[in-house]
Amino acid sequence: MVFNSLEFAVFLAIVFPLYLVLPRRGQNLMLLAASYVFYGMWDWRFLGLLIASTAIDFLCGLAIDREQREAHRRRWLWLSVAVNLSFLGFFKYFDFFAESLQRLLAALGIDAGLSTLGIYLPVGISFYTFQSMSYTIDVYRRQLPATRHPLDFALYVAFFPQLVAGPILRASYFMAQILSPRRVTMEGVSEGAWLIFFGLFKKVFIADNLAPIVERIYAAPGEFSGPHVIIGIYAFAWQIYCDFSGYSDIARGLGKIMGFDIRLNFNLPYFARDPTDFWNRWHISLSLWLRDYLFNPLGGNRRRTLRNLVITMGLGGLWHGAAWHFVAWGLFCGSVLVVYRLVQGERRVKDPSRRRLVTEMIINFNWFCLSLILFRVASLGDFGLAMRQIATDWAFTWPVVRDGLLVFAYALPLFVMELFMFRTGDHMAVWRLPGWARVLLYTAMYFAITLGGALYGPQFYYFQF
Amino acid sequence: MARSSTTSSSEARPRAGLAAVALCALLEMVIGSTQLFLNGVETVVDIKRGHLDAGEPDDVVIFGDSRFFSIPAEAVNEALGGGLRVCNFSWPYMGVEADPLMLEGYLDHRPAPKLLIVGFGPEFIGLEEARIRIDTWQVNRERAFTVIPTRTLVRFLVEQRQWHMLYMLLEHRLMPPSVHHRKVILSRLRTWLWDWGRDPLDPADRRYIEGMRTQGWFLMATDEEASEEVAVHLETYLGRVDVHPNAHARAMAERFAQIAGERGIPVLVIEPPTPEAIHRLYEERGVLAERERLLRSWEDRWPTFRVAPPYARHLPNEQFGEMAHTNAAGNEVWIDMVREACAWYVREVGPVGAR
Repeated sequence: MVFNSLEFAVFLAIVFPLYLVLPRRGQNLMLLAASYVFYGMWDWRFLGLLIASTAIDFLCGLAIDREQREAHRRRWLWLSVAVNLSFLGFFKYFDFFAESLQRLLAALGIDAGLSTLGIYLPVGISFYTFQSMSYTIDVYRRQLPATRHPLDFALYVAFFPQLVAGPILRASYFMAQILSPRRVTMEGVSEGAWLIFFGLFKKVFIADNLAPIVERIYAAPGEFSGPHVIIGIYAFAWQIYCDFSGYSDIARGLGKIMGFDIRLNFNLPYFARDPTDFWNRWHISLSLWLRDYLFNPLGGNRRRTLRNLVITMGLGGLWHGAAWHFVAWGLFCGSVLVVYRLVQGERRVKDPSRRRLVTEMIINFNWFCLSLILFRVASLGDFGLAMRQIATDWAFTWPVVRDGLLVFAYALPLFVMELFMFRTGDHMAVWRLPGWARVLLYTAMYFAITLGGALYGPQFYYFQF
Repeated sequence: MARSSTTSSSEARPRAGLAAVALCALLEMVIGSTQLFLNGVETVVDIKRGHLDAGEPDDVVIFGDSRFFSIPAEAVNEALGGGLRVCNFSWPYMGVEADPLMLEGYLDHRPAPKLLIVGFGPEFIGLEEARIRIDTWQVNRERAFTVIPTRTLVRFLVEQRQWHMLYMLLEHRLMPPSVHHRKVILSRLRTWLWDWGRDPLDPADRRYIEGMRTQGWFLMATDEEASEEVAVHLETYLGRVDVHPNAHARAMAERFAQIAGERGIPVLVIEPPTPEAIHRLYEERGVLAERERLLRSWEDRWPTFRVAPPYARHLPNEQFGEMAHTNAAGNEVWIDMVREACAWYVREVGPVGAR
């Protein structure tokens, strides 16, 4: 069940009124049941996995909280981490590692007879295992008391607006909201409705219309000219941003109409000035997770910072998908951060001139687009083909211009809105426009969706992770 | 860093949202209530659907697919003796499954006519499953969802346990008109923006609409469309079509006959003309014989059923504009066939309504 479907509209039309009439306890139980239905509609067989991960982390959290001896606490923590990583490792990475090992051994002339299992990836597993694990780690660090309410904890893990593609919620922030009464206000519903609508606009009008262009070019990058490959990657930059941030907006909006506050996951990342700034704005919940549970334990900024950065980003790349091009993408992004730190260091201008600011943003946007070639290709071989085309074939044909104009036309409305948000320093700036302006804008966006949206477009891109 | 949220107390925000919803709803109503954004065939479908809820009862109703679009109601009236209200209720093809539903829907909304003229060609029992079902192609679904009354369609889908189709019907009903008509709206917008003064409808669509509005019938295919390509097209078509007697199609045809037979509605069955190449194929595969057996069994079962002779007819390929529809010359012959069938009916049974 995806957010931009009739099933979800019907689902929400049942869940939301029920939510309004139930007391808090009933609300939580109903939301838990609804979340399991929501997840079960993807594939009910994987509900068991979700419930198992939840149960183990709940029990480990209790055990860590009760236990005073450090060694025993650590043992419970390792159990939780091991179980979650085993789930993730088996379902997401088993085939990848088996295949990679097989290739390596074959290159050495050894036939190990390893075979892949063709394992089907449970949707959202990367998100909910990370979310659930963060809870036991926080309890272990004594940053959070363990909860005694299994069903509330289960709701924290399975909360349907963010279950399958984040944002990854931290228990220290979200459990308190689950355990206390929420207030549904007209203002919250209005703000939430805008976020849902804005997210749908990004997804259906921009991302899904750009998807066919990207799909066509990156299905066979060797068959397109260099400029076309580059246009394809700009298209992908807007597609993935609108797809993923659109999902996050909808998730936040759904939370908001029910009185929950889900933190911002994308903070106008294409207006970032430098790579460090960028990762503070892009997929913030994952960046923070990696910072707190991987980068800092590795030593953070205290020692071997550059190594820590590369390792963290490399593993971050692997988190996205079980393929070497994702690892390469992560390593590339890590290397950019390292180079930036070495070159720029402490010389970052705090109040740059407008020209400098724009130049920095353009450079920053373009290195990220360049990195996305690694992210989007199907394999490292395709990456080589794409780079070869960029280096050797500069044929400028009408299809290149046409696709370039399409990317520009689809991205422009969002760019203008985000520029306005950036300049006013307010993510809800559009929502705060004068009434008449919003009526016109909402109407225009609505008809952009109904007339120009790809209503039966592909799934959200991040579901595959 | 930009602010992410606020708790501003301005009440104008929900109000502006509601005003936008109202404006969108109003614009949707305008789009939905006008035929301005329908293409040619959609306009025809819309007019047919509108007929179910309007006007005086019909004496004679022509039930058939798009091959009957070119039959003037007046020609039928004259051939049946005159003084009758004849309605050409033919619809664009949307699967054989739709035929009994069209009849059920018609009878749910309007009194039973004194005569039903039914087009029943060999393809009704001799096509592959995909072409028989409403749900296979989007175009069939869209037409069926528009023209078959909801209650009738829901009853059928529940009975057939076509849950997915039921879901698609719900989705169709919930989709705003701008989604249904987006193609035409965008094409009109393009015309207005870049090609002011040009007719946004293509010539065929314009012909259908004007023919429908001014005379109640129109030619689906023109002479210009008839060319050597037709023969090639026919050959290609023959290569693609799997024509064999089909049990599901037969069941649907039986269902149609049963509705009319059990309610005692007089029925005149006419075979729409088929290009000779296709006709030959039906003959070779035994579809024509199967059709004849079925029609004779209906005549035996219900005395109100009559099948106009001959049981199987075809026209030369040259009289077709494309593989299904006659061109102007072919249509003259086709209209004469219908006239003859009607005159034969009057001779055999007597004047319509004189039961």
